[in-house]
Amino acid sequence: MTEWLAMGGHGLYVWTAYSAALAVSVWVIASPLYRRRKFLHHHRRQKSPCLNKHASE
Amino acid sequence: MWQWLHSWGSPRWFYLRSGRLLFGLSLVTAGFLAVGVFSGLFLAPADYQQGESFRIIYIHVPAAVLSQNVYITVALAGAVWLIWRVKVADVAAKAAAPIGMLFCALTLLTGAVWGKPTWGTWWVWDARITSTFLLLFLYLGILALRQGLPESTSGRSCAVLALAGLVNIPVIKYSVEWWFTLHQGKTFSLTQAPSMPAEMYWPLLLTVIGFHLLFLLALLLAMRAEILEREQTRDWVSRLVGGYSP
Repeated sequence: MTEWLAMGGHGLYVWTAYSAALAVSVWVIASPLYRRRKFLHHHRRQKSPCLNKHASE
Repeated sequence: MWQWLHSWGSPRWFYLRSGRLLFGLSLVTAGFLAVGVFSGLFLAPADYQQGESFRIIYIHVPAAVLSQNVYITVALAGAVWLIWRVKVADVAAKAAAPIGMLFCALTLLTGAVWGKPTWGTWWVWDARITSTFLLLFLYLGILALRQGLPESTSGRSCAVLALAGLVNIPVIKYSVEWWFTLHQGKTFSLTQAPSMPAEMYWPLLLTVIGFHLLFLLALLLAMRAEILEREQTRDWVSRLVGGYSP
């Protein structure tokens, strides 16, 4: 396992590339989901204050 | 057919229909990426000259191909917006640009960390690297226009810039043939047999497809968020918000 992680001495380069790719992938999926969620939360709150008051109790 | 295509131009229709695609698309995307990355890291043999660092191509090549295809998507969506004023096309152009910019930055970064152990340098002003760097700046320009201009005019300006920048795409593609510089020639071709053994080639094909599916998924999600914000005063959005349960 350690040997595999070391990637024949190129581990730092290989894992930098793969982690950057993971970060980009997570970001492009998570940020629009978060944006939509925030929109729905915000507008639901504006629309039905009673419901929201109820939820916060 | 035209009727069907036309209905996708409506933001409401697009929002409601695209929601049904998300689950299936996520599964297929995850499948391609998981199998592609696993086989790229475990099953593909190390390169006899580059050693293990060659595994970076399973990120670099898909990101590079994708960042050019996303650019073409932004430009074409911009053209559809300019010519036919299809609202969803402008939403697509706006949503795709930041995703393309990130993949273009990823291309340059992974190229640099591959270049260091392989060429002995992080960066050279080689024709392909320079034209890809220009692509990043085109993306940044489009994003800056989108941010800086009022919403009524930003779509048009972004579309014009994206279309003008389209000349850079063939420059990137043929840069390795027109100028014989450091970057190696093309990795794939639709018409020729692969220049590498099958166990190196298949993971690459899977990750290239996987990255494109990931883009499609990210694009749909970003367009849906954008459509909600743009159409927030419409009845259908109010009804949707009313029925929302977290």
